[in-house]
Amino acid sequence: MTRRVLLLRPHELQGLVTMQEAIDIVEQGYREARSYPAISAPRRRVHSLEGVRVSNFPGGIHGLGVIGTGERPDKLNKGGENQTKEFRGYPVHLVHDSNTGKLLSIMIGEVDEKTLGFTSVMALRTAATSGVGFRYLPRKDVKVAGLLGSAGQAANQLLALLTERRSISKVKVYSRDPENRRNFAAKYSKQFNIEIVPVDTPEAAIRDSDVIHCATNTSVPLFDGNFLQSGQHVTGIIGSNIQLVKSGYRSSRRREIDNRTAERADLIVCNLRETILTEEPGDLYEPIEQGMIDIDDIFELGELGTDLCPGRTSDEQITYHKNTNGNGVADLGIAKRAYELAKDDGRGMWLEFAEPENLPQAI
Amino acid sequence: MGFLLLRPEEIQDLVEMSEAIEAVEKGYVSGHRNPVVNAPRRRVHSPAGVRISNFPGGVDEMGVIGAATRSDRVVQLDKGRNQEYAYREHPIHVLNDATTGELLSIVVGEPVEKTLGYTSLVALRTAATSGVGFKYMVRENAETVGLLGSAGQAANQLLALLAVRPQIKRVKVFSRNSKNRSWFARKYAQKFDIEIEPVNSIEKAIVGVDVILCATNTNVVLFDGDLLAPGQHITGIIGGNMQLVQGGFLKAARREIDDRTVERADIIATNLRESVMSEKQGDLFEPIERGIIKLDDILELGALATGEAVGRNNEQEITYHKNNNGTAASEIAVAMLVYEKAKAAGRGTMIDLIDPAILQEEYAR
Repeated sequence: MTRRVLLLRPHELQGLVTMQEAIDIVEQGYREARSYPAISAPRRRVHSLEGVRVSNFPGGIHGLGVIGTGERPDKLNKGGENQTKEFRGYPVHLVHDSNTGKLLSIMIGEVDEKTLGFTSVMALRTAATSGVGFRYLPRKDVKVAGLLGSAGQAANQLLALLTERRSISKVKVYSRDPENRRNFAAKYSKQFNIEIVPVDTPEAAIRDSDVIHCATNTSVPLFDGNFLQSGQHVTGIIGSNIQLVKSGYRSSRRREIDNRTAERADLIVCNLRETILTEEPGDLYEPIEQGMIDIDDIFELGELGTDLCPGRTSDEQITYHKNTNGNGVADLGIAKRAYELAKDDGRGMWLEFAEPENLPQAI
Repeated sequence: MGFLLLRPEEIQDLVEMSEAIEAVEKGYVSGHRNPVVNAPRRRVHSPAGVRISNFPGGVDEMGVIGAATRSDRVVQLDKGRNQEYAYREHPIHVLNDATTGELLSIVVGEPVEKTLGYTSLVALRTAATSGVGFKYMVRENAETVGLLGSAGQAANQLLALLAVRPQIKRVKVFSRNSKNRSWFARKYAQKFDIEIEPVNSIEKAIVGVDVILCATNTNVVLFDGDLLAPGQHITGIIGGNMQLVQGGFLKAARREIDDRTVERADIIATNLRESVMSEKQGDLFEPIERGIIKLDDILELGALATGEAVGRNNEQEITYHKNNNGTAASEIAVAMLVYEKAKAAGRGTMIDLIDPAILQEEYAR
């Protein structure tokens, strides 16, 4: 007896999953994992001597019938204020049925957002994870967004915000290269049908904005937390892991948001608290280490929108979502959706395997 | 660009035990020299009993980094006294080039020893890991073996020992079922061309032998450490993890080897010290808790293989290898070996992947 497994390749994963679907999936994943933690684990990275890094994302969403792992290889360039990659590999998702344990699909490539297409690394899942924060943390009537960064992550983050807050009418975008920020404004003001203004400092992007989202590849803080105003919401997406420091690849932890922001924020939400201890992401680990904040005061994404953490409770609060890093629950949930849509669309290649019990036994 | 897809049917007859031992040794050497290349096994569970085991890591010495993933559906029996696998999926190994990051291969299926075929789960890499210990800890002139257990692990463990100590002459095998031990003795005496005698007690298997191999699935101690004699080497393969106790599946941590053995052993080695503590594995964790030994007294396989530590100093020492559990150091090493051999034999299917630059050109909107 043989059985079939669907092999999906990068070009077959395009045009399938919308931002709205992805945000719903990610919310469900974190919420289920909050009540059944055994289905989730922190990302774990391993590093070769030659600088190749493999990021591993085990997890699942039983409500969607999925469990498995995601793996993504890349090779980093050493040092610098921004992290750049010498090589970016396709992620591989091994999608299993969480009821039977059977392998459903070997999926190679990024699942990009349906309307945005190919952008940058894990941009859909990263933005959808920010999107769960946008659902509960910015004020209901937000109008202005300050966007730091102008590449693929920026486009996805902005789409996630617009999906959750349709009241946004203006975006100020900053990135170091004036041409990039102008191009971004020209392209996405049309695509999202919204006013986008390029600005020439991070401060100009932040001042009087209701939502600030960081979408760069920085390794150092982007702005001084003293610039923040009451009522603002801040989302950061840089996580990083301590093994980069331990292996001598970096001299210190990556940062994006400063300690002052952590100190001033009235409500801090991360993706998974366990990750703060296993990977020591600088933006939260360092202010905890320095006694400015307490890990027990930080909420998790799976608690947002529940009695444990309803979200923003006043218009004056500064809220801060540290989208620490991806997690298997988000990746496998999105991968399962892409698999179903691709299968229904007749995409991919069916592989035939012998059932494990039908292989030749001891000789 | 593309990668080699290997199916379960294509990897059944590729790897010899001695090659697997060599590969696993490289795995632990790499992890010793570059600790961030390896990580402990991590498991996630669904409420329906599906368990995914993830083994991330690489072997610098073989130019590979990646991860292995195993899916099982576990059913608890007799109020948790036993567990049964309702389904065991093919493991999947994702292999990337450790220098460039490029995907080399996806190997689907359990690598098995070519002369033994499929016997039991993860038998090849478990035995090959024991093999690294045999190489550094068993006396050069060892001739007799006491084997506890008579199933697939037993055959693989014995083959691993024969691979590094070919002068072994005689084996005494014990298992609780007399038919099983007689069958094992008949079958493998012929296959390995060696004398194998079934014995009807554990004591008979271990008294007077040079090497004691535990290859059972016990949850409790197999023998009293007072029976051990100078010069003997013991290998145990049961690890266990504390989640089994925390989850209510077992009342106490799994054991296989007693505290007295730990107390008497002159040299103790394990695969990864981190797992002893992170998974609270009874055979080493409990004697550490009771103050019988210290964690720092335990050597790691990687330290033996690099020559940083010595596995045996003389003919009188009692040596003990706790082969506590698999890590990517063994999983990925063996899978890489499978890939190299399959590729050389022209097996598998090359799967093309679109160049990211073309993907960007066609799909960025």
